Amino acid sequence: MYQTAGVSLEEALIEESIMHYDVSRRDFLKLCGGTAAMLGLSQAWIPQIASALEQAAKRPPVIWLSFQSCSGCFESLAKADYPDVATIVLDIISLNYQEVIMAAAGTQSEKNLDDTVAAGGYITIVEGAIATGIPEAMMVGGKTSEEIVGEVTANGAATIAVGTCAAYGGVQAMNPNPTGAKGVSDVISTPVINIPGCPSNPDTMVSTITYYLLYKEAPKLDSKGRPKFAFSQKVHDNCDRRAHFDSGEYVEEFGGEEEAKNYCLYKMGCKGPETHSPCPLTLWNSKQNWCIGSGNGCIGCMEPDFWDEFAGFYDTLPNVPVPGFIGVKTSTDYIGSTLVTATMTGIGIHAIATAAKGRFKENDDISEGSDD
Amino acid sequence: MEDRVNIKQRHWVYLLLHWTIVCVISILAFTGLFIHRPFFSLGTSQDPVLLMSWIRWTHFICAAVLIETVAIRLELSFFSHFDADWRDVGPSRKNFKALPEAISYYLFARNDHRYWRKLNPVMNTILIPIALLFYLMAILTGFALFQGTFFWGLTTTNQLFGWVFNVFGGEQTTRTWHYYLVWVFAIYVAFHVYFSILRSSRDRDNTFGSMLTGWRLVPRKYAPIRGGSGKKKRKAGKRPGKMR
Amino acid sequence: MARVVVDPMTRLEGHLRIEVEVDNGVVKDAWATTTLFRGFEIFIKDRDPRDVWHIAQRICGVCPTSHGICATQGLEESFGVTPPDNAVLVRNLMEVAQYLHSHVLWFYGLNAFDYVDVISGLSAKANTPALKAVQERLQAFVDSGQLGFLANGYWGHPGMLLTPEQNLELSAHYLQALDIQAKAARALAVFGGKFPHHMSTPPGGVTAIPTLQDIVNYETIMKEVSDFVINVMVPDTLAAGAAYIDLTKIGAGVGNFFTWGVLEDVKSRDPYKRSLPRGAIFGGKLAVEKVSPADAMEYVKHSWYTPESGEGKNPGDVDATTQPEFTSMPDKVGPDDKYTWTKTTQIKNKQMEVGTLARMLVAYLSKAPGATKIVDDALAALGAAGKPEILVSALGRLATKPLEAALIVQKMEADMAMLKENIVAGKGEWFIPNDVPKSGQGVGAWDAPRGSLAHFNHIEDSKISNYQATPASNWNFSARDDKGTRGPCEEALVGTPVADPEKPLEILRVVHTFDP
Repeated sequence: MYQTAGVSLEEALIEESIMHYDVSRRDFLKLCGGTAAMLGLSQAWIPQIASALEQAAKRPPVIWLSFQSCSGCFESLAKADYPDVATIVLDIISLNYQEVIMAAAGTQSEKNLDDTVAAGGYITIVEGAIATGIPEAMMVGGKTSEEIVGEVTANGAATIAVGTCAAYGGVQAMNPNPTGAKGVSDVISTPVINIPGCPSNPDTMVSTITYYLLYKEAPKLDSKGRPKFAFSQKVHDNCDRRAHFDSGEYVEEFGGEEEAKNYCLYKMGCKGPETHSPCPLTLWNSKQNWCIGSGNGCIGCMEPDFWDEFAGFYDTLPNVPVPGFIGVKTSTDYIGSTLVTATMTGIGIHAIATAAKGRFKENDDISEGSDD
Repeated sequence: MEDRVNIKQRHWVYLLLHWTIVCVISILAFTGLFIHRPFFSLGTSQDPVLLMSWIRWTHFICAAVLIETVAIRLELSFFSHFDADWRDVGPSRKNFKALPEAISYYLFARNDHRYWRKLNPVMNTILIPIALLFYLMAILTGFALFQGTFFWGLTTTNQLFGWVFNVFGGEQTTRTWHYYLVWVFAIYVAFHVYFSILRSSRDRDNTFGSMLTGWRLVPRKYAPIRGGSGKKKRKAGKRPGKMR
Repeated sequence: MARVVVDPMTRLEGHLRIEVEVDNGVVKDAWATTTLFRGFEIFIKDRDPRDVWHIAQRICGVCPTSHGICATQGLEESFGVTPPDNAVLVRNLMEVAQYLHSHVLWFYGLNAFDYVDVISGLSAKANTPALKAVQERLQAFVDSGQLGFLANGYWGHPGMLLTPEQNLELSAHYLQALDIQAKAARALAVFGGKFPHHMSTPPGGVTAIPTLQDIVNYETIMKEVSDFVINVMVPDTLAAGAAYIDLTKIGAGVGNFFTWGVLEDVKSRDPYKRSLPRGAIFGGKLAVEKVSPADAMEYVKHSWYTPESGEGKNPGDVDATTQPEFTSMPDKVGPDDKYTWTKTTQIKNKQMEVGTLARMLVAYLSKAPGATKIVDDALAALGAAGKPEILVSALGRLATKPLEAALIVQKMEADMAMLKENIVAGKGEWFIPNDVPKSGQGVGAWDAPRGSLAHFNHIEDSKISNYQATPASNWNFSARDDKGTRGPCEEALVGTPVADPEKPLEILRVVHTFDP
């Protein structure tokens, strides 16, 4: 669906449009087609998306803040194909602050940030968690992450948290969360669009930005702050191995015959049934592959607290540790079977005692009177 | 053996509902366990059987039947014309008062007990509330996990049942709790069946069999007076058993 | 004496603050501060060991594959399982793709703006239609008045020495490189599922069972990438190297190098026979010694950790810890101040440099297949034939990157041929089933593109009881030790001329050569 949308229209548009750069123009329209598909719009919208992106008097300024992160989300955006990262930074947005690729450094880069913030009207994209427990665990230019994100988002038009770290705290927020890492929406009061994922999916990032530029407002969000157009379905719903799940054909062991046949990874601990994500549709790295395609189950990286809640990535659903219940390693099966065994033992003992007392025999131990 | 009379203890509708629930939950338990960990397979890769698909379908259908049955049972216990038995079945002050006596009997602290005309107080005050809680949990977590565009999208995360995930602390944890229900059911059945066998063999009143026939062999002096509906009987309050 | 602070140091992965003391236009002293702490060693504790390699990848989003493979190797040692040949081949191919991705991204994306004046390229005479198109595109971008990510770069700095034509060509290659790095990542995803953070290498082997189609996909994509490396990146380096030959005089650093080695030799599994073999060089002596992860020692005199977290412990010790204890960030770092989140990490009480230069020196000196020729050819092209010692400099770090990329392309071709043969013959296993042991310990020692990294694990009660990692930054951005010996990057900065302290371009250059 994503690959083919808008091809015929694209050709029509190419004929009538004045092309500055043949290749980039075609890429650009592919973006528009892909975006229309992702946003659930019909192909008739493509010209409007194109003009919304192109005819804006100036490219919308974007500030990209990196905090407690691995830079993987920007890396991920840099793997976008239509448009590629060069088109994004040269033709679509004005990336005024981004520590990984910006030419300026030190005072000059701070100046870029300050100027953009002063001018207002920018989109803030945050990558990485905010350190609140040890604020100094994340400093840029002598300021802590909490200070920076507060100052920068206050004057911005919209805030997008990319990656599970920025959205919900991510890897560093996993128990015991030594630095007190939190998601952006937990530390600022203005609305935040979350695009979780470890890393965030480039197609979803691009589509969300495009949506914002098109409608000048955030897309509809689910209860976890994620755009509904991308996160309303689960990995399981659109998984290319779903037929094997339905047929009861499962991989029992890595490297086996079932794996070679691409059977379902449910029994290997796949968290696809729990994970809301567009992965099976967008795929990764120019639609080359995706996690389940590489033979490992989904680890649920687009869900809040997945590092803790889904931990035991190779344990079957929901045979997972129960935090705060009976100890970290105890599984539901263990708890359940223990309780049942205890019950049966108790009943057995009671039955023996009852028999010993002769209560199974008919007797007249009924006291005078009934219960009503 | 003292004098006994056969009493029409349970209306056939209640028996039907009871055994429907038993069947449906058993199927739900089996299918649920299979969904949790598929332990057998059918067909070959050339000719696959949509096993998981059918198992899940069965699970959902049975869930629907269960909800329906429980709803009917609740409705009848309040508004039925033949036996609105909510006072007898549910926990009431009277039952709570009788509870210590019943428990101390079962713990061998005393050797005599009253004759329990319908359910025993342990059933009324402990097992029935657990069952109700069980239904509530099963239905809420079940609906929350049952995501799709069914019912005008009301079962998707954000609508109607999204809050359930927040209550339980996430989707995975909700699923874990839903899975716990199978163990709760197993323990419940163990207690329930054991006590009915115990009572049946002790009182020789055909309690166990009455779940099939509806008739129970009650000592004459505890039998309710003949005629009239349950409500009237209670109002009359003149059953022999009442008198000490 | 003036202090110059560069914070944030941009175009790198993570967060870095550089403070230097400049006297008469020359750096006299330097302090490198990593300003990010996340606490991996703390939260990996008590986890299911099988999950750890997923978590470990999140240490670095530019080199996650290396972290993942390294963590898996450590776990395999504790689990007592040896990955089958096919799995090692697949891991090697993934690692190669990541190396080329990283080197291309680093050389152009992170490093080029220190040498290439994009704005000057606009006045160049464009010789080909392609260059003309790029020039027009950049001109339109500049004319828009929104310079975006190019704003406030050090354009027109007297240190920029390339001709406008060279600048334009390198700018064009910059744009091309952005495309190529995505392609290399795509090749990795053939086996890894996705990049960043691949999914297919749990302890015991690989989950991906590639088809012939997968190999062809990988091969075709990597062909494009390796063509770029050999035909564009290497010539660019030599051209830029010739223009910036003065960089051989600065940034020598501490002169101690080591590498754990990378790209496994399938037959022997000997780290000293890896394509880039293991080894250490001390005191710039150009002789290779053996080195083992047990030699690594950590100290915390100048780092924000509790005293127990360092004090001469090997990270593989069962009681090694990493407990943060932030004190304060001094405005001007003094001799006894704590100033960074990296520990002082040393071997034999020496500050050690890691990375491409270390790997290439060790490979060159231990005469690893292919390495000698590639290095000698490059030295000849730079007019320094037979003088490998000039590589111990900022230019050396810069120039060895493309050489290493070209070298591992050879390894890739050999491994790919072997894997293809196995697949066609239906030979070999992909995964050895294994169980988490009750207790165990292991260490993975591997090299990320930016430098050596080791993951030390202890398992107790089938859970991780202790986990310590020494990623590349711990070595290159090691804090000074208790005697005040500077870390490699700090030492390399000393002696660097700074023409304009307001625009410390030279400092950026030296720091960027470490591929931070």
